[in-house]
Amino acid sequence: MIRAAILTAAMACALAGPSPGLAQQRDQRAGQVQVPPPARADARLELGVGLRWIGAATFSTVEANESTGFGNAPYTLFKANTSLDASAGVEARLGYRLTRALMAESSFAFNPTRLSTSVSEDREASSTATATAAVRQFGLEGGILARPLGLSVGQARPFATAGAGYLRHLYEGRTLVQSGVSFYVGGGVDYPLRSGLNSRGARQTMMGVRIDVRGVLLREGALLDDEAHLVPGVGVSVFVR
Amino acid sequence: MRASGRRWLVQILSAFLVLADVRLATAYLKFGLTVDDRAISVKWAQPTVPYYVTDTGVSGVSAADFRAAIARAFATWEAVPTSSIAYQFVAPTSNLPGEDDGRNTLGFLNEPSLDRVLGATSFLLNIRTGALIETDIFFNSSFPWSVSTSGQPGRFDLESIAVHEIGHMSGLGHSAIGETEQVPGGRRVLAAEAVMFPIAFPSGDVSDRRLRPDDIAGISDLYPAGGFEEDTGTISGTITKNGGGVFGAHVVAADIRTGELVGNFTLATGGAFVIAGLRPGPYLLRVEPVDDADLDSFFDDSDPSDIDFRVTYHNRLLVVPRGGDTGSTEIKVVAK
Repeated sequence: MIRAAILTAAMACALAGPSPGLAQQRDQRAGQVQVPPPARADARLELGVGLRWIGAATFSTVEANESTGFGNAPYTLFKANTSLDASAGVEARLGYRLTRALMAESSFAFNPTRLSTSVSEDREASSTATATAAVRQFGLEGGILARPLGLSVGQARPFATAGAGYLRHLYEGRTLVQSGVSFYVGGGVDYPLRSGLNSRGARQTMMGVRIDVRGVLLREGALLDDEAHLVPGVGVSVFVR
Repeated sequence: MRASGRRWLVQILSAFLVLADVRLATAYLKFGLTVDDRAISVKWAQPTVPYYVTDTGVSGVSAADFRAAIARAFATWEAVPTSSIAYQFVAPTSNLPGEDDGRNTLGFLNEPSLDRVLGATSFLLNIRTGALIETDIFFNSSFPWSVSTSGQPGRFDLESIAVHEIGHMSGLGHSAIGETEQVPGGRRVLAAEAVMFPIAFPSGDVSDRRLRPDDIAGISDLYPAGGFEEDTGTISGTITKNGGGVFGAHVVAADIRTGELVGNFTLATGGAFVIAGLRPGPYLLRVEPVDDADLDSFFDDSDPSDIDFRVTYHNRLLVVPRGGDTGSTEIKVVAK
């Protein structure tokens, strides 16, 4: 009972903040001195780099119509289906811990993608056709990461994220630049690869792997319509603190 | 000393261009001249074009009705925000269209021998500068006409035909954005997405009172309003077959955001084309032979037009920049 009470007190001190020292407890039965693990704490700054995949955004079918007169239904010369293809790119991230549970972060991502148009039902052509244009997508995002305190899956710690960003789409040949916006909500886990002691003697994760899964809302830019497009996003990165 | 030549442009059910002593080429819906190997657009030099209207009506259309319909047709072109051309009604006149009176006159003429011609435009121009001097438009009174708001069965809509002819009057040639089928005695229009398509819709239809993107691009390219050239861009390239240029191919740029179509032709033996007046963004290019109207609606009889190739799409979307060109691209077509 006393041992449990002392252990509880030690844990409480650890959660409250970096421990100024180590709590010791004598295990009388084993004759050993057990040193409870130091309180876990995170550094203020976190840098991350990694890969990011964004799903495709598909637009409504566009018909090339010609008037038939008398208010009749138009003559559709052909139909065109366009999408902004899924893409894999790179991401760099900077985070600043606000509290033990909250971190503000910003990221810069580069995703080379492609605008693809598939032509069908041409009245005068027997086969379909596809036309493409390369697009470079640049994204600058800012958001909040929240970690539920004390929640972990083994050493992996889950988190939730949300934020918004600014998009730039640069077409091939640099003929045109268009701007858009993005919003995201998601979550993930980070897993420590290496831990160490910080300047206050507290143990912290120095390096780890982070996996993000999110829903991303894209608007404007190279997106052909005025609608918001929801696409999946997955990121894998390595971070250091 | 002013040099001049008169051409008659006769159109609607079939169209032909009578040549005089210089080579006249339609370029990007525009009439043009080749002078000293330079291509010059045929257009008005002054910003406001005065016109007269004959004070004679026909059955179903009074003189006042005629004048009002003509005014609406001119207003349709004048309302294009990206075009700077303006027209001014001067006065009714007893002169007939076709008279060399120094006036731009619109009126009725009875031409029963022209049984496939609803209307025609003639013009007098300076063949060294391309400046229009005088144009006249006649409407063939041997056909039944209507100015009814919603059209009248069995009668041709005067305002629609006037919009087309005023396009010629302003310097625009024919557009090939349309589909027809062969019928005894000629062709029947199935669809058209340009008022400047050479064949009219059947009697009773009023669709051609409304300009389409292709028409708007043409008039804006001829008479750009402030900022038009800076805010739009062009697509240029060549159409080739078996390593050689294709003359007379119809090239259409389709806006993949809206489906709107703007077209032009290859007007050189090397197969070069330019499509102008496009808003910035990605476009799909479609190349087809001119087989929905008689070739002489678009080109001179002596031009080596090639219609032996299949409809072809360029495998790249071309992204039009603001105030610039996409950079030349080659599209290869194959024989049918």
